[in-house]
Amino acid sequence: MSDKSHTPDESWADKKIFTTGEAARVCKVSQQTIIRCFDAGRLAGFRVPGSKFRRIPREELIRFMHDNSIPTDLLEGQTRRVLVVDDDPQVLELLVEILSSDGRFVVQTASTGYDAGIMTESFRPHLMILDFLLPDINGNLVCQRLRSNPQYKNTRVICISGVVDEQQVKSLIEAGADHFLKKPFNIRQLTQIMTQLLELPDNNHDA
Amino acid sequence: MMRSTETCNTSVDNDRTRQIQLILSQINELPTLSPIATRLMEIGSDDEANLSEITALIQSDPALTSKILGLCKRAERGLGNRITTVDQAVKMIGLKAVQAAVLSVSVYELLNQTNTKQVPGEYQPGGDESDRTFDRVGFWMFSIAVASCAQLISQQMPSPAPAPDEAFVAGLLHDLGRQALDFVLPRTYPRIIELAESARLSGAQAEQRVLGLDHHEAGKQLAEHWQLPTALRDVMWLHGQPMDALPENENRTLIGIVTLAIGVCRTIHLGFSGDCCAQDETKPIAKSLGLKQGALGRILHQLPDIVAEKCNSLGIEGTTSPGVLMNALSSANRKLGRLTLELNKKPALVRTQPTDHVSLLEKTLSTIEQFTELSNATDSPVRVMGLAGSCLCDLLGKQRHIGLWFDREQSRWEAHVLCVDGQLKDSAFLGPMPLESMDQIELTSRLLAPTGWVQSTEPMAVINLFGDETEPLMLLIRLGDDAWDALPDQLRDTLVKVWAHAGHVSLRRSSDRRLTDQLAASNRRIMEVQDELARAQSLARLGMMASGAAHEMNNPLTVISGYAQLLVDRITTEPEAQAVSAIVDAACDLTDLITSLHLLAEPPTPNPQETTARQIVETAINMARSRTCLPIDAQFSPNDDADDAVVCDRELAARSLCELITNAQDATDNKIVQIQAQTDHGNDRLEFVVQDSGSGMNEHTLEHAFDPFFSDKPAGRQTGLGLSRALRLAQQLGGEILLYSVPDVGTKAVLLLPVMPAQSQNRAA
Repeated sequence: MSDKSHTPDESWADKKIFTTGEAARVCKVSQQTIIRCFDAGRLAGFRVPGSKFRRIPREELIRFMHDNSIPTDLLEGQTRRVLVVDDDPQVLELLVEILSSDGRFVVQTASTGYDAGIMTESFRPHLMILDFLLPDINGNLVCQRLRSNPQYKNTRVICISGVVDEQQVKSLIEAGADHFLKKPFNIRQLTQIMTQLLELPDNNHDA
Repeated sequence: MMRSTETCNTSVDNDRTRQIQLILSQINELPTLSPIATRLMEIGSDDEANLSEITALIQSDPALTSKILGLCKRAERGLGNRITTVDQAVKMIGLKAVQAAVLSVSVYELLNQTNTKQVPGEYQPGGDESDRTFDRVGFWMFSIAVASCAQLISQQMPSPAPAPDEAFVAGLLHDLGRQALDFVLPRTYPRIIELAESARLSGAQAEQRVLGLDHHEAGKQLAEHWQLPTALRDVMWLHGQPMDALPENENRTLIGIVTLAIGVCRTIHLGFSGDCCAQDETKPIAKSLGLKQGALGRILHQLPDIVAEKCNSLGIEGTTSPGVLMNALSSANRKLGRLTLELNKKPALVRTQPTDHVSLLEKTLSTIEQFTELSNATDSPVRVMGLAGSCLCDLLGKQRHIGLWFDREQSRWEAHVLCVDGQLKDSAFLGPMPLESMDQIELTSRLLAPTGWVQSTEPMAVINLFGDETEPLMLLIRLGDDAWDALPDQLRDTLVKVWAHAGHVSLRRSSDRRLTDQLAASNRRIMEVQDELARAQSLARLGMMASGAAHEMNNPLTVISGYAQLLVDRITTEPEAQAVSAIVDAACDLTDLITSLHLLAEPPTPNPQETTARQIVETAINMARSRTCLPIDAQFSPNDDADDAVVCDRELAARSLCELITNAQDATDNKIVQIQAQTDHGNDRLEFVVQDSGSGMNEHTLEHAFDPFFSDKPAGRQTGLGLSRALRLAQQLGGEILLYSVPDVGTKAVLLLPVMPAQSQNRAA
C-alpha cells in the first residue's frame, strides 16, 4: 500500500522546518503548487532573512495537509507514537509488551495525569491509551485538556478502566475520548481499535 | 396563709394519698418469710451441690417436712406413696417443685399465724358482724382451689407452658394482697367485703372506693417486700386482666392461667373469692391459652379431689372431696340467699300499680337475665345496643329502636336502626356534633335529622346507656310509644345500670381493638421499613465493595489475562495452548462476576425506547445463547399482541429476561424452556412467563431465591447471582418478578414490566 520511494524517513519525522521542495514531496504535489499556496497565504511560512527562500514550519505544513485532506503518513512515518497512561506498572509493562511486539508502534509510558501532560508535549503521540483512575487527576480531565489544545485535535484517545460505570463512560466520551475499553481487554480487540483509529493498513502479523 | 389555702384545696386528695402511703408502709412492716423459705428461694435450681443443703434446711423443721411431703405426694402422677423422705422428694419431683411447696407452706403459715395473733388485740369482734368478716378459711380454700386449677390448666396446655408447680404457687398466692389488706386494716376490711356484696362490686372496686388502692397493688407491694420472684409478683399484681391487655409482659401466660383458674373456681363456688360481680370469661381465656375444647370440663371433674388433698396437706381441717363440694354448694346457697333477700326488699321500691308490680318486676328481672345471658365482654357497642333494644321489645312491646354511639377515634357519631332480633337494619355515620348546652333529646333530634328515620310527631324516649348527661356517648332511642317513661324509676335505673356496664366495656373494647389494630399495622410497617432499610444498606455496602473490588481486582486480572493472551499466540504445542486459554477464560469469568456485583448495587439507568415484547424476548434468547455454554433450548410462544409497539428499555428488559431463561435452562437438565409474552394494554405493562419443567424449588429455596449468591446447588457450581440480578434489573424498570414453584414439577417465573404506550400507534395485529 505504501509508496516504496518514500520509506519512513526519520529526518522528516523529526524535521521542524521544511523547504518548498520537501513540502511538495511530503504532500505529493508539485513544488509550483506549494509555492503558489505559500504566496497566496494558504500555506503560512516565512522567508529566510536576506533571501527569497520560502521556509515552512512543521505545524503549518501539518495544518495545511489536514485542511486539504492530504494524508500525513509520509510526514509522520509509518510507526505511530503511542502514549500509555496507567498507574499500575504491571499494566504498563503488559501494554508496552503488546504494542512493541506488534511492530507498528513506538511506545512511551506515563503513570500520572501530570506526566501524561508533559509527555504529550514532548512525544506528540498519535494515540493515547488512558486509564480512567489516575493518582492525581481522572482520565476525563486529561482528555479535556488534550482536546482544549487544537494542536492535539487529531490525537486519538482510548480509555480503559476496571470500573465500568455508565456515568464515567459518558463523561469520557463527552470529554473527547474516541473509544472505551473495559479491563481486562482482549488484545486483538485493542489492536483492531487502534488500527481503525489511526487509519493504519491492516497489516500486522495476526492478519 | 397562702400555703394553707393551697393545702385546703387539695386536702381530700392529700388524705387519700396519705392513706395509701400508710397502707403501703404497713405492708412493708409485715414479718418477712421464714429464713428457710428465703434461703430456698435464693438457691439456684440447676446446682446439684445445693440439693443436700436444701434437704438439710427442710429437715430442720419437722412440721415443714411433713407438709412438704404431703404436698409433694401426688404432684407427679404414678409416684404414689413412695416419697417418704425429703431427699427423695427433692430428687424425684425436682427442686422447682420443692421450692414451690416450701414457699406455699411458708406463706400460708406466716399469714395465718400473724392474723390469729393480731386479731384479738386490734379487733373487737361484734357478734352481729361475725358472718360478714373476712372468711379466712374460705379465702385459703379459694386460693388452694385456684392453685390446683392453675396446676391442672398448665398440665393441659400445649408446650411451652409454665411448669405446673409454678402455676400452683402462683394460684395459691395470687390474692395475698387481700390477706395483706385484711392484716393491715382488720376493722376496715370486713366493711369493704360488705360493700362489695351490697353494691355487687368486685373486691377490687370496693377496695378502690374505700381505700383508694386495691389488693392488686397491695399484692405487688407485698411481693416486693418479700422479694418473691417477678413472675409471682406479676401474677399478684395483674391477675384478672385480659391477656390481650398484657402483650409485653413476659409472664402473661402465667397470669392468664391464674385468671382462668380464678374464673373456673368462681363459677363452681369453691371457697370465698371476695368478688361479687363475677362474669364468666373463662372461654376466651382458655382459647387464648391454647387449651383444647373439653379440657376445662376434665379439669372441673378432677378439681374437688385435688383441692381436698391439698387442703389437708396445708392443715385446713375437714376437707374431704365431698366436703369441698359441700362447701361449694353452701357458698353458692349463701349467695343465692343474699340475692333472694335483696329481691324481697326490692318490691317495696316499686310503688306504682301494686297489682302489676310483681309481674313487671319478674319480667324486668328475666329481661336482665336474658341480656346477661346473651351479652359477653367482647360485644361491640352496636351489639350491646341491639341486645338492649331487643330486651326493650320483649319487655315493653315491639317498637323501632335506634342506637347512637360516639366513636372517639373517628370523632363521629354512628347511628343504627335496630331490629327486634338485635340485628342491624340500617346504619349511618353522622360526623361530629358539639355537645355543649344541649340535652339528650335535642342532641338526638339534631343527630338524626339528616337520616329521616324519625318523624317529628313520633313519641321518642332517649335512654342514656353510657356517659353523663352533659356528655352522653351511647344512646338508645325508643320510638313510637311512651312505655319507657311509664316504667317505674327503680326499674329504669336497674336496666340502665346493667346495660351501661356492658356499654362501657364495649366502648372500651372498641377503642382498645382499634388501637391494637393500629399498633399491629404500624408494627408491620416498621418491620417492612426495617427490611427495606437493611436491604438498601446491604446493597450500598455491596456497591462500595464491588467498585473497590472492580478497581483493585481488574488490574491484576488485566495482567493475568493480557500475558495469557500473548502466550496463546506464541505457544504452538496443543495442551499448553489449551491451558493458557483456560487462564484467559477464567480471568474473563471473574471480571464478569465483579461486573455483576457492581450492577446489582448500582444498576444502569433505563433508557426507554420503542420496542415490542417479541423483540425483547428475541434479544434475551440471543443474549442467553451468547453468554452461556449451555445450549439454550427455548420455545417462544408469543401472544397476538407481542408485536405491539411499547416504550421500554429493551436492553435492560432483555437482560432481566435473559437471567430468567438461563436460570430456567439450568434447572431443567436441557429440557425445553417455555417462554410466553403478552402486552397488557389495559395496565400498560408487558408480561413475560418463563416456565421450566425442572426440579422446582422448595419453600426455603423459594424464599431465598433472590438473595445474591444463594443457590440450592452445591457451592461453586454457579454464582447464584442470576435471579437477584434479574430482579434488580426488573426493579430498575419499575417492574417485579413473581416466582411460582412446585418441587419436581417445575418453576414459573413471571416478569411484569410497566411500559408506556408507544407514540406511533402502529400496532401489528
